[in-house]
Amino acid sequence: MSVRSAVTGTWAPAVWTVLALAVAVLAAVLTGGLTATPLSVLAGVAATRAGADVAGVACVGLGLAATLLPLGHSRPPRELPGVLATTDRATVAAAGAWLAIVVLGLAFRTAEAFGRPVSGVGVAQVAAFTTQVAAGRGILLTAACAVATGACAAARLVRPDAVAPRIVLVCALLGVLTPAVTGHAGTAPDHQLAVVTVALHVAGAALWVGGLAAVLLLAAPRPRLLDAVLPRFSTLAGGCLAAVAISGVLNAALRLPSAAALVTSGYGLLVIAKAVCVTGLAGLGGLARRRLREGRLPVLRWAGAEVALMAVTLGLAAALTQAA
Amino acid sequence: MSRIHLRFRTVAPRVLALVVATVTALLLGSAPAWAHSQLDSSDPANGSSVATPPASISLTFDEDVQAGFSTVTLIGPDGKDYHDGTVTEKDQTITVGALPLGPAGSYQIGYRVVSADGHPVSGKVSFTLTTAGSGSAAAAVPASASAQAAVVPSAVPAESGGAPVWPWIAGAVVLVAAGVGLALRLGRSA
Repeated sequence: MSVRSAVTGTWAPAVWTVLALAVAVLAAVLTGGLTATPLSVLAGVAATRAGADVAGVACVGLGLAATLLPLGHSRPPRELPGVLATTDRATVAAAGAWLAIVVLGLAFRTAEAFGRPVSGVGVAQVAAFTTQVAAGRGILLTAACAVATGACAAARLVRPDAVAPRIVLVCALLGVLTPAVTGHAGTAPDHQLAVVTVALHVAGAALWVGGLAAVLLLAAPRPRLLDAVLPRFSTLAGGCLAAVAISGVLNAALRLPSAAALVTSGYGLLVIAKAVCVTGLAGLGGLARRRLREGRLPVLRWAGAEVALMAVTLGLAAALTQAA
Repeated sequence: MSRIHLRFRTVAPRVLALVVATVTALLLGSAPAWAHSQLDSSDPANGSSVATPPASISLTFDEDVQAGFSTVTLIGPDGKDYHDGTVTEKDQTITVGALPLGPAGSYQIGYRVVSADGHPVSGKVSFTLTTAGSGSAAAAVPASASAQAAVVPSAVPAESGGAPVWPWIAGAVVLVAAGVGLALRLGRSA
């Protein structure tokens, strides 16, 4: 496994996933260590939340790639159907992983609510959590969206024109949004505004991160596809960065009781860490765009590093959802 | 070329409209509640002194309390738990019945509630009983050693029975993996 393949090649998705999970668990343990919840449950909740986010973002990115790739080609290159089939297969696998992780996460969240280790959680308690607690209902919705995404992608495998790729994208986006709108956002003083800003934030981040990863892995080895899709994606990424930054600042302002809470609470510190990461990502993205006009290969290496930093940010975000 | 641009321009707004419509629907459906609720007030108030033993304790939070997930303890100066087992959650207030209190001294109310985002919130409130109550030590349930050491409850009390869930979780994960394998195989042969 060379450094090159770890950053842009076959090992990249595994590296990014491990990065996100490790950061999420570390951040959750550091900021939640004083609560009474057992450490194993804390780590499990953070890991399953980060894992579900990674799988969901992967589905969004693959759906976006499938939507963007065919466009801009009056005469599609003959490699396009093969790439689309690969995209659909990857979406089925990612959606399956998403569903499995969400189901695991449900057990950990129930354990956290009831204050006991996962092995001691009963079926009746999970049933109570999913029906009575809003977050539990949100988890069921996420699972349903994961099933829908996987089913649509599987249908496309059997018959490519059965389901339009944008349907897969929408199902995946909805699945990524459901945990966010049933989480902390329900709490803010201006509940409606908080939910809208967090939805914009999550959708923008998912499209940006997932899209970049998918473009990097699918289109990068095929120069003609890359030439067509990269400028289109670059414009979308710029819009996503703006949406993520603005909605992130707004949501933090709604959630934190004062500016001082930025440095005094675990939540505030995580917000600062995320802001630093997003600034770094904006810098990398700007550099990549400038290099795009000069040459291709350096762009790919920058893009690989960019996705790695995005994975770290994703892990921080997952820990943020659990922090007070 | 212009045809494809036109198609992209009609697809994107429709996708956006669908997403916005669904988010609005989710908005209407999601419970407007505060995650990580804070204790607003209690009766008896924290740090207060009461002469008459209260018949019930109430705790009011800044958001709705999830019914069925709350645990409250009322530990007296003799280390016994004086709550009578009844817990009522209504909107943002949880009311716990109290047995007739015993000796005068400091009583500690420990609470653990779950907010709408599924996260537990715990803490404690204390008040002082200035005149001894009529409660007998025998009537009060002796608090377990762990409850005496940590007034604040750390778990919802265990119910009897209830099959463990982890075999079902493991089975579901296996089922999902099989489903994915099947779908990929179907796609390859199609």
